[in-house]
Amino acid sequence: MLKKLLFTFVLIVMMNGCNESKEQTQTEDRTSKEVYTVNYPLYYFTQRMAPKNVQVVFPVPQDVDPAFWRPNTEEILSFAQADLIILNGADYAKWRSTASLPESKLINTSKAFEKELIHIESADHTHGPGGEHSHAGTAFTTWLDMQQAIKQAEAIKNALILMEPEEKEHIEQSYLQLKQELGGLDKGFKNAFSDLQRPIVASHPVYQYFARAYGLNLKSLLWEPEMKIDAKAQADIKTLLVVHPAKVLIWEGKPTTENSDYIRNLGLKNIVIKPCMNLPEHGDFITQMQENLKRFKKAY
Amino acid sequence: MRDLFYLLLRYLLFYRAKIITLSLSLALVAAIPLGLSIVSSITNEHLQARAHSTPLLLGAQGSKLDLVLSTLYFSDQELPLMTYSEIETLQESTLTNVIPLYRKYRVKTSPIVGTTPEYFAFRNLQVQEGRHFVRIGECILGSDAAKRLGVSVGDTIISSPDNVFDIAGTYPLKMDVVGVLKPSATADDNAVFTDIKTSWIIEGLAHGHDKLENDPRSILKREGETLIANASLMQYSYITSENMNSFHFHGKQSAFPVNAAIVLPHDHKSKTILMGRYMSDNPLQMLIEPHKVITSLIDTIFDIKNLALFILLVILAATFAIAVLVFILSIRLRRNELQTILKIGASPFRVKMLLFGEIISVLLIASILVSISALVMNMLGDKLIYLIL
Repeated sequence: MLKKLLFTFVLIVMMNGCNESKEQTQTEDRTSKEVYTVNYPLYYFTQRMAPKNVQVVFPVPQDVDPAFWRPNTEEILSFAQADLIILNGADYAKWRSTASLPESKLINTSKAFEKELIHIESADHTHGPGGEHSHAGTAFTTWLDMQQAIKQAEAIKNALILMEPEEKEHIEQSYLQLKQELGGLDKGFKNAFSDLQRPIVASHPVYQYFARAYGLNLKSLLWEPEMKIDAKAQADIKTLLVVHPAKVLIWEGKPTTENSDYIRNLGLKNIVIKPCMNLPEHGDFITQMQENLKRFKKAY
Repeated sequence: MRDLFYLLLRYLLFYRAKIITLSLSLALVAAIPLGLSIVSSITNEHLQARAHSTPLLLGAQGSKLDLVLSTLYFSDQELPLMTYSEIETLQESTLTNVIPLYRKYRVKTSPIVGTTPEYFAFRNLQVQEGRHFVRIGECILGSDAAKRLGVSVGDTIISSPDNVFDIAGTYPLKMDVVGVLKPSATADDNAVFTDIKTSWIIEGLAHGHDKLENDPRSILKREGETLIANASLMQYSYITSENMNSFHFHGKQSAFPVNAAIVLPHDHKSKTILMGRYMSDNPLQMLIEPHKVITSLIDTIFDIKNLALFILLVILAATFAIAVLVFILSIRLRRNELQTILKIGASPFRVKMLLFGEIISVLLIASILVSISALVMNMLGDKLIYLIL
């Protein structure tokens, strides 16, 4: 009887020891810091500047528009446990308003130009797995104005330095490099669009900052590249062209052959300018923007 | 020796009423100052520990003591409100981390504390069951609150109405219990924690829109595509995955109310800068060091305690004098009995030992009672503090 009691006691002590070492291992597992981002441009900027011990995470599936993505409970918990959460601001990622995240870890990258944000009205529409959504409120593709993108990168740089002060030099250097590349793109867009007062139509209301920054006379439809241009859509563009006689239609992605042909038959050119919201199929943010620029120059 | 114990036992049993009364009187008079001392020492320890672990508190101008008691111990003091913009201003200063607190509503007797997830890391509160809240409409309970409300993970609780006579007031909110915290022997054990946004929803600053077609009982009539709702009484709001996306706030977050904020400066320099900033040019808010307020409170409590102890010690001395008198009178009353013991052959030393044994027995019983009461005070001291506060 005594032996049994002794054995049970030893077993309990050993089990406790095991649990403690397991807990220790779990804590030790996460030696690197984690930075969560809400869209691809922010992910790209952060990754360009983050030191090696910082893991940058962009959890949105590639086929979902990050602006309208809604994380599940586990995904919100992962966000909450991150060391930094890089937000776009401008009402981007609306799930934030109903989620509980640690305020001290949130970085609003568009805070510096908050007063210059564009407020819009837009009807509800549906596309992709995100379901019905609306663009009403604040225009959120802030990074399409390269000067704003630089300010967003700067906010990320400052947050990274606060988190990893010993890596300040590396972060500063990477930021300067990124700033130079974004500045080059800004110059390229400005040169390409200078004196371009001709009306342009965009298939989707996501180019507000792009149009403002580069002086485009732009009006938007609520179209998707893969949608079927039905009678209503045809009426929409024809009505728009009466008051806004554009010769170019900007698509977010490559349109279907039918859509492309339809636009060409109306006497408009098709141009793809990718807003780069999610991970691109090839290249990165900078190369995607360079390709956008190249395509526009070619069309004109 | 056995005969002596036998006589002693027979005496104690025969005069049990007298012995018990005497022992209880002595125990009671000794236990009161001892208990007071234990409780005040535990109170001191707890108050100081929580106050020392909280570097700074921000609140609207008013009573510093109310701010500390309400924020650290969730006592019932009603605090003047400030706007969330004060929290945002501090957060933007890069000198500090800020944890906002909004405490106005209750679930029965447990306070609903609206805060941010940083609170749990700051107070080192661990989850015993379930998880932390991640969305509006979710809550996590302190261990005592869970027991008192009789709920666990997966259950729901409803906030108590603000004012039962205000029929135009806001609806109570039904919240999902997603976790229970490990006991911490602090005021957190009796609290219901939610995201600060959830507490603003209870306040009526946000609402969602339910689709009428989902609840046919609420439809009065249909006119083409228009649905007309009936006057069925809605008893509470409930945030579900279906209506969550429709929940929205009216007004800017910066204008929403908070009671207080725990301010965690990054270093001593930041703390000094912040203290200076609020000391010189802020007539609306105050930034205080809670440990200073608590030290001042404890000093006052100690002054009162010392006075009470002095009075109790005088009473203790008087009780002992009465006890001595009772023993002397008792010996006089028992003169014949003691003479008989001597005549049947007991030595005077044995008689003295018998009398001494009786006194020791009374003191021993009283000491045991005092020890038990001290043990109980020690065990319940923690809970007692939060009941008092």
